[in-house]
Amino acid sequence: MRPLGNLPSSVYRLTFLGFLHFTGLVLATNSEIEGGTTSLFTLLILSLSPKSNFYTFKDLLGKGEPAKRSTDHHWPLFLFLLAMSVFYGSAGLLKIIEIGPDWALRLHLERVAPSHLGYSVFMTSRGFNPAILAFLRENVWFAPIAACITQFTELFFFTVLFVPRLRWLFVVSMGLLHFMVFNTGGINFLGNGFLLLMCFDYNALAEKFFYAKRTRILQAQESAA
Amino acid sequence: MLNVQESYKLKNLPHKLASFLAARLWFLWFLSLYVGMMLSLFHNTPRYHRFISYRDTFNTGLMQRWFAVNFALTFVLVLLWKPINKLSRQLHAWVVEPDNRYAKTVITLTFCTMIFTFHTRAHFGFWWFSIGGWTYEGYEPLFKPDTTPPTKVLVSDVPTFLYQGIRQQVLPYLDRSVPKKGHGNLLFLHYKNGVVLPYNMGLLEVPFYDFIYRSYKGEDFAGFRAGLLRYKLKRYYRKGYGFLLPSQIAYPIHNHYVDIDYASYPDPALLEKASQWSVEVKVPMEGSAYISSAKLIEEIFF
Repeated sequence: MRPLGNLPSSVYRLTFLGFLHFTGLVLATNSEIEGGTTSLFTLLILSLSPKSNFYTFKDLLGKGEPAKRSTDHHWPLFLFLLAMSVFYGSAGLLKIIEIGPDWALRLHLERVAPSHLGYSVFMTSRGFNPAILAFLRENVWFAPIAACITQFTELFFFTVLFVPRLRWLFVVSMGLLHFMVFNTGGINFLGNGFLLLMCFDYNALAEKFFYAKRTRILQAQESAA
Repeated sequence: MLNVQESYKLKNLPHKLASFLAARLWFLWFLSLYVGMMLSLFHNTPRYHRFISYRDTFNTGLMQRWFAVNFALTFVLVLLWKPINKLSRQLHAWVVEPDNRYAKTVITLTFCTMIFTFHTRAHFGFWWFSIGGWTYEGYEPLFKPDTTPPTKVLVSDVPTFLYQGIRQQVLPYLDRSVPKKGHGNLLFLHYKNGVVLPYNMGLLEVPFYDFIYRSYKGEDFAGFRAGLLRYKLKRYYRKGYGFLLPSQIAYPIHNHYVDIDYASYPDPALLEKASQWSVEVKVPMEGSAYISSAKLIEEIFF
């Protein structure tokens, strides 16, 4: 959680208010569904984050004081993961409350495919992907399997807070969900994909993939010496 | 990070609120459930039903289900009085600790907001209870088997420009085991120089345009709708894109449409009218789709 920018807090606050204004306009048109919730919440967290949590251009150029690792920077990340967990967890619960506990077995993507493929013939259609719709029509097995995985990963998304090793499962699952909804339902939540990528701990990943080998060699050299 | 003294001075009121709520977590939860139940009793949401094309397992209304869920959770809350009060005490002790008050305030208030919004289904703009899903159980294919014999030539009384609104490239993906027919709508822009080109509502770059258009139907609002179309087409003509970036690289709108290159359309000053057509399209087992009948629904003059 160390975004780069000039006057980052002020810019995030202004962006948050501007976005909120647009959301208000969308809701004022009687639309209850709005796709920017996670973006808005992330902007709000960034707006509320202390200045010390942000990189500055000086930091980037190596002119400022070197950044120190501190637990003070953890809470916005915790809050972000909590918000994402509640957002996706609520979606999983809502499926049970609003549709029923058997949602996964009642999802019929093979029925939506011929309907949306038909609309795709007209220029006035939403932006469906005909190839993916044709795949869903021909492969009836896909919907229940995908639905079971989706339901599980939504309900247990809060695991990203406690089990970092399994984050990839939840991020990939939800990313695929948004990809499929974009292509088969004509609804765009792809921006959530970028936010899902923020669920990874990049410091730990960099340590594991780039520095671990070098560290091991240094440790071996030290022990040999 | 702000130091303790500064943090306390600056964030005094939110911190007091956070510690107040943390100490009364059980009551907050109960209040959320109670408000949620009351809202679900009196809040009729037909607009929400429109999005959900399913028949729920227990065959009840959406709000009745929410009432039942909140009612059941109230009993759970009563049963869990002790553990929640213990959690509440721990949370309060954590919030009132002198270090990192700012972070603790933000996290506690967020947690309380999430409890309240989930049970009450309140929409705060920046946060709401998320969206469930669909089952698509009631969906029917748009193109149904056609039992009438196919014609050998194109239907003569159908204007040829209507074929610009048909995407023949989609046909390979359709099930063509039997001849089929289906109905759809087409939209066209007519220019004074005789050019007629298709458009769709993605041109407006507004999420769910139909919510706006529902209030602006009929001849009284034809000028308003024409003004909107002309405004967006002018932007495409002058800048090459509708808002901030060309559509090929811009982030698509929430409900995205088939991408049409409006930048290559003629000068909007030449616009004469916009028309809406209802067409019947037949898809034979081989070859191109053709329009078997067309009906003009509406014309808007610029």
